[in-house]
Amino acid sequence: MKNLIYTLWALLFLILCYSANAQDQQGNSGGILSGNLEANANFFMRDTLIGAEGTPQYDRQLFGGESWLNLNYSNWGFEFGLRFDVYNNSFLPNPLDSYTDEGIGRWFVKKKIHKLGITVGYIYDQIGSGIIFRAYEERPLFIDNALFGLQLTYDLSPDWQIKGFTGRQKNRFDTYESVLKGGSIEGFISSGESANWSMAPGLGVVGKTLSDEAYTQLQNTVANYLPQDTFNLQYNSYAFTLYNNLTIGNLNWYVEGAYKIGDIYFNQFATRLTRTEGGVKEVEGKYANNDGSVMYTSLSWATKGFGASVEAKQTENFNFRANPFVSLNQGFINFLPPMTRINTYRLTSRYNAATQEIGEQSIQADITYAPTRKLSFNVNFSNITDLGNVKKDQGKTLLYRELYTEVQYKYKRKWSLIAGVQMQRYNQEIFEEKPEVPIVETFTPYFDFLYKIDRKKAIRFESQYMMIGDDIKADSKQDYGSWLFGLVEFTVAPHWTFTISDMYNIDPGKQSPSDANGEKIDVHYPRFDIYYTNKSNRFSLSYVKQVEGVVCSGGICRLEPAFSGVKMTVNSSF
Amino acid sequence: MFKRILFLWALSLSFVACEEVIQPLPSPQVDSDRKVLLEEFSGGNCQPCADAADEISNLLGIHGENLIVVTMHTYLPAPQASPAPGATYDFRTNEGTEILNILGVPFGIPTGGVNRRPLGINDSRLISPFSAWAGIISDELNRPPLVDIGVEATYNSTDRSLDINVNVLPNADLNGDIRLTVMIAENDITDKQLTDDGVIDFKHKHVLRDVISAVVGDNLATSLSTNDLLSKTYNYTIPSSDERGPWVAENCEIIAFVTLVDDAAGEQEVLQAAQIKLSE
Repeated sequence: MKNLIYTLWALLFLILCYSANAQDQQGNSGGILSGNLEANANFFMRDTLIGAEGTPQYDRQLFGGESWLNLNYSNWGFEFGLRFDVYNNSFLPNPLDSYTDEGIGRWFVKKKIHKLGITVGYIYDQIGSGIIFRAYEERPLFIDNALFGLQLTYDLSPDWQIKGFTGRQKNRFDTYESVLKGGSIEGFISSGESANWSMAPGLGVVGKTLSDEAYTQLQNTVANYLPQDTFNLQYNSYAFTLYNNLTIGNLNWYVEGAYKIGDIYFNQFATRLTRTEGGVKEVEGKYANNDGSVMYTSLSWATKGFGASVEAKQTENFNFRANPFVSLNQGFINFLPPMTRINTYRLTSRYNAATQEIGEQSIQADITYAPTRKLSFNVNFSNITDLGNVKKDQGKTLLYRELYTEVQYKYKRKWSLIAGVQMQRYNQEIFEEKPEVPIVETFTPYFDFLYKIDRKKAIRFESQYMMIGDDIKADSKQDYGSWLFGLVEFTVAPHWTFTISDMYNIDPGKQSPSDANGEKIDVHYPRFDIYYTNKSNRFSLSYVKQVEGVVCSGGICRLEPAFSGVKMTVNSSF
Repeated sequence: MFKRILFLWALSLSFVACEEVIQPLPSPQVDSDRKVLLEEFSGGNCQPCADAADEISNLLGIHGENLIVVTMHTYLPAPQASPAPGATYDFRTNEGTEILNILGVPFGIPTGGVNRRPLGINDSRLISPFSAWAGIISDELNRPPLVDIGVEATYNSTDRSLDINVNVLPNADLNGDIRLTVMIAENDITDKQLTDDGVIDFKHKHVLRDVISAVVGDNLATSLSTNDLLSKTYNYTIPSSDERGPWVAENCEIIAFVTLVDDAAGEQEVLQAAQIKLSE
């Protein structure tokens, strides 16, 4: 049956392309076919020392990979899309497990009839900044939250559009059972072309109807709670949002407020009472139906050589999922904007703050100053706490704090230097659910030096030294201890890039591997990469030894286990 | 223009205009002949596992003998699965790890299987968080048992020999690979456990000690007719101690369950379970 569906879809696509080609030969305007391919292959080489073991890939499968082939075709005022996904022994869904499946990961048909826009199939879209609804894809995190259904848009005027949709959220090659529906009105107002202000207001609503199965399971679950923890359940929940983006000259101010009602969600920090042999005890984690809210604002101002922005966000009980029984990165209906700097260097990006849905209060400020074209400075500060609902006896808990400084200097077109210091406080107990660990303290100076040898060749040196605080209880350095990272990258434009790097656990910590005598070992994690680019094709071959860590994108994170082996990637677009 | 927008916004409010009928919560106690098997996967270095143990105690209080629990510590490659710092014993068993592999690979622990059925997300047979077990157990209790099981055990404290007799009586005609699994678990073993209050001395319950039958179950039959009584006997010697510490026979319990297995499809489900305490 599955094969028949694939064949039918492939045939339909071929017929469309063929008929378009036939029209071309008759002199009619043909369609446009475009697409892209992303393929990853991992060859696993067990390394018991760093913990790269114990999973099916290391024990017996030895190979795993993923690929996505995306095809888009537009003609006759229609747009068609088809994506074929392959997962073979993939560790993306669960780092400890192996996942194999393949199929049509996405298809859609889109048509605009005068002011009415129609889309059916798997739809990616969002309302506002995504706080109440965002259907999106994030492949490294195995997130594909497309809405499988129908979306209609209508242009009320050139500046105003109304949108409505209904469907179910994609879950691997299936969908969640709950039904989503929603809509928004968005517009643009300005006082004319000569005016220096404009605003883009909008409001939206999303509703979720639980499936009978999920509702019954929830009822039976809550029925087992002691009376003081029970509550009435409803099938339907709603989230509303109101947002506006105001621009006055160089000033830009975005504000969004969202509210959620009637949703049953799992609160891992809430406690409930249970009867045990020793009497009534509190346990952590319960289903709850408290209303939720998010307030988010960002203010930015930029002028020649100077830019500043401030962001603030408060989140309370805004865990909004397609199924209340899913956890981790599964089933998100919405997206909460992250409030930290997106770091790119190996060590400065080692500790990331995952967005907290149950309670978070965060602020971020960023200042950039460039007195000349050669010289620029950047300072970024972020601070995230909970709302006092994690460790209730301790008030608000610090989740994350970062101070990041950067100086950039460019000397003619010959060389450039980026250097700075990063300081972090990272609540590992909350973000990684590691018990009995202190807040990780880091101090990381870094530099990045690029030297252009000639018009084609360039060499780049990068280094960071991450100093980690002490874990007094464990009488050692926190987490994995201190790190030294070095990288050399040699580029021969336009085709080749070679890199060699090493992440060295220079002062091992509590989590670092030990030898037979229990002594901590200062392990090297080397990496070699070759990248080849030819027109729109890019290939990479890497030997990687990588310590376990957390990979984040947009504030959503997953634990990445230690890796040892060879990685190959192919990226192509046409 | 604004009137039009207001109208459309009012229209969108029709999403929430109708109030739904709120249904009362069902009683948690279910009058059932079914005995549901909860296979819990735990770890000494796992803080929420202590809460899961309390939840199990709560569920046993609600469902009594209708709920049968075995707690397995496994060699799952996760730090939480290891014994707590300072622990005297290591409860991890190869048998428990093998059973975990039969049920699937979890995202973490605590997790548990209920009657080995694919009742979790994405048809997983492992259900997390532990707060979700209660609803699934209630659902399972509402399904009538396809077989009845009787377990008798005679324990000789002098030579620590144990004779177990299991009777299986089908309530319906059954076809397929029908298997019987017999385990021994022990209660009230005091050892270290990571909890909200740090590492403390903790009374571990339902800890899997050994699987007396084959881990995947002993083949009983490929076809059974209603009321066709089947019996199977096991002889076992309870060790006085092993690398996982001393065995207190009086705290042990025998758990037996019948599974219908489809190896080709990688599926199975527990048709019925039974449990007796050794001191009985």
